[in-house]
Order: sequence, then structure tokens, then C-alpha cells
Amino acid sequence: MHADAALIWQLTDLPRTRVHRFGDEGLVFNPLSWETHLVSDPALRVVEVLASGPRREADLASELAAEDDEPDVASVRNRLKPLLDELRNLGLVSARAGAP
Amino acid sequence: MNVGDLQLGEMLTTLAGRGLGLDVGAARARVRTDLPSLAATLQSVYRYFPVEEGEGFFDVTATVRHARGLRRFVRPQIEFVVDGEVPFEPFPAATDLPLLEWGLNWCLAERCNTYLLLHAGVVERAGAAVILPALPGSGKSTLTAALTVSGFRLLSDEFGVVRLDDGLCLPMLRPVALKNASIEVIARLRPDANLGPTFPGTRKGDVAHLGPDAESVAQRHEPAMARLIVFPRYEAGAATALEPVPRGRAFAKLAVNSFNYELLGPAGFEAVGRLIARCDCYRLSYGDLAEAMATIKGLLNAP
Repeated sequence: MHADAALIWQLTDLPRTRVHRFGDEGLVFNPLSWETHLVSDPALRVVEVLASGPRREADLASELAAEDDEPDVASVRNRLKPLLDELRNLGLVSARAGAP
Repeated sequence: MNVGDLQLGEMLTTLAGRGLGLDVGAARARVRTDLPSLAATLQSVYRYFPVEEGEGFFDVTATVRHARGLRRFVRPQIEFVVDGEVPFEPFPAATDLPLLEWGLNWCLAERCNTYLLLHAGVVERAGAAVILPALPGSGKSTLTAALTVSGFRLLSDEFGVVRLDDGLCLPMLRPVALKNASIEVIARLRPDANLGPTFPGTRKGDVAHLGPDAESVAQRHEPAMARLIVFPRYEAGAATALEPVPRGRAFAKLAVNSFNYELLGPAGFEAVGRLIARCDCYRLSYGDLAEAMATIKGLLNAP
């Protein structure tokens, strides 16, 4: 398993992060910076999934792949990684090492 | 008794004493002045407002008075005073009402933070409020005034006041500030409109104020549910074009356009989100005012 697959991703402030979805895009309120971000799918979907609780990166990829009926989970993981990095740069999500 | 029913002498005495209280719906302002010309124009554009005693709580207590100093003998100037402070440079004495109105706008934008304050005109028809956010060059005031003199209720020309707990739009009922060619446009559209005097050559060009009509004043405590958000854009000679704005984009535009979105934080986020969720959002480019009005009426299915 790739080392990153064990990373556990979470919303930086899960209880206070707020989301309004409108179609395939939406607004995410960062309660730490009080900034509002306009976020499109699939990044918005990542935020929504993490709003229900932290996920191992591998599990997150599997969950998103299943939602999209995408059999190639590895491909989903490859697309997921830059989205997570972007969300982390916005301060919306953070990662910690999980058990491999 | 309404402001318009006072004798000018009574008006002056009130303004020079405890002040004239103006209940504009979402806020109360108290105005003081010893300028006879301002008393007369105030009486004209606020004619349908009830006379309020200048006592009790006011969101703003403002005074317009002659500026101090030797300059007053050469080129008289006036200043806007609030809480003992003079926040702006003096204005020429002949621009008393514009100074008062801009000063009140500034104070209300600074202070009314129990509401979400959008920089927008708001009108209502058959229970449906239409929000017209003011982006640069939008022609917001012209469109707001035109709709108002054509059967819509005026809630505000400057502030879209959204109550945080239920998302209803509240009136912040004040005169509509018309600029330059818009003054004549509205005068032609409705010759009996309650238009005050024109103040030529202000910092924003020629300015005249359209006083709120009696019905809008009588309903200044009645909120309305927003159903439509129209981002107007005036361009001389342009064909009328209506285009839906995705709600996410509309949210971003409204937030940027708000006086206090960032200050309100999560409460502002929720308020804008709820507002957007129940409104249809459009961008309206227009060069013909009548067509623009007909388009908005069509969106509301209004005659």
C-alpha cells in the first residue's frame, strides 16, 4: 500500500465548517479564517464526505469511486490527491498519519 | 402628523432643537440642523414619514451644520456631525441633502450589524421582494426608482436588509438618490413623482432624491420574502439580455457586495445561503429602461 493511503484526512474544524451546495458547486465557510470558498465538484464532494467524519485516504478514494460507479479506484486516488492538497492549502482539511 | 404636514417654522424648530426622528423601518435616525434650506428639502422628500419625537433610542443621531472657520465667509461649507465627530471633509453649503443622505448611509452601514446588509436596491410586488445588487455601473438606483414609480413597493435604494433569523427583507426606507441623466428619466416616467431639488456638480455629479411614496412609508415595518435577485448592468444602447446566474456564483457576488458579510462570519454565510437557495438569480443587461422593467415584471409574472 502506498504510504499516503494510510493518511487520515479530516476537516480542520469539522463541527463549525459549513457548506451550501448549489448544483455541482457550492460555498464552504472556513470557521478558522472566516473565509468563504467557492468550490466545485469533485472537491466539494470531498468536503461533504469529510463532513461526516475523518477518512483514510484509501477509504475516501474507495467511497468516491463507489459513488461514481468507477471501478478504477487507483485512478480516483490519483485525481483525489491534488484536490486534497488544494483543500489543505485553503485550510479546510488537514491530514495525520494513520496506522498502515 | 406627517413631516409634510408641519409648517416650515415648526420643522425648523424641531430640527434645531431635539431633532427630527425618522423611523425608516429597520432603523431610526435623528436629524438635527439649523439650515433652513435643508429643513425645506427634508420636508419634501420625507413628507409621508410620521413626525417622531426626537427622544428614545436612535441608531444614528446626526447633525448637518455650517462648518467652522474663516472659510465660511468666503465659500460657505457645511459638515456632517455624528457622535461629536466630523467623519468627512466639509461639503459646499448648497449640497446639504446629499451630505445628510450620504452621511446617514455611512452610519447605517457601520452600525446595523444585527442584519445582513447588502448594497442593493430592494422593491416588492405581490409579496415577492426583488433584490437589485449594486455593482459598479449597474444602474441600480434608476431601475429601483423606475420600478417604484410603476407600482412596486420601495424597501430601499441603498441597503438590502436581511434579517438573520428568518431571512426576510426589511425596509430601510429612504429617498432614492438619482444621478445625472437618471433624474430626467424618472421625471419623464412619472411627472408627479416626489422628486426633490437637483443638486448640481456634487462629487457624484448632479443628484436629486426621489422621496418614498405614501404606501411604501405606511408599510415600512412590513418585511418581504425575496424571490428574485437581479444583477442589473446598464449600457447605453445595449439590447436587453437576461441570463441565469448559477447560485454559487450569485452567492459569491452577493457576499462581495455586502457591507458586513465578513463581519458576520458564519451568520452571514447562513443568511446569504438561505437567501440564494430560495431566489432565482439573473444577470440583466439593458439599455432600455422600459424593457428592463418589463423583464423583471415577467420574471415575477406581474402585470
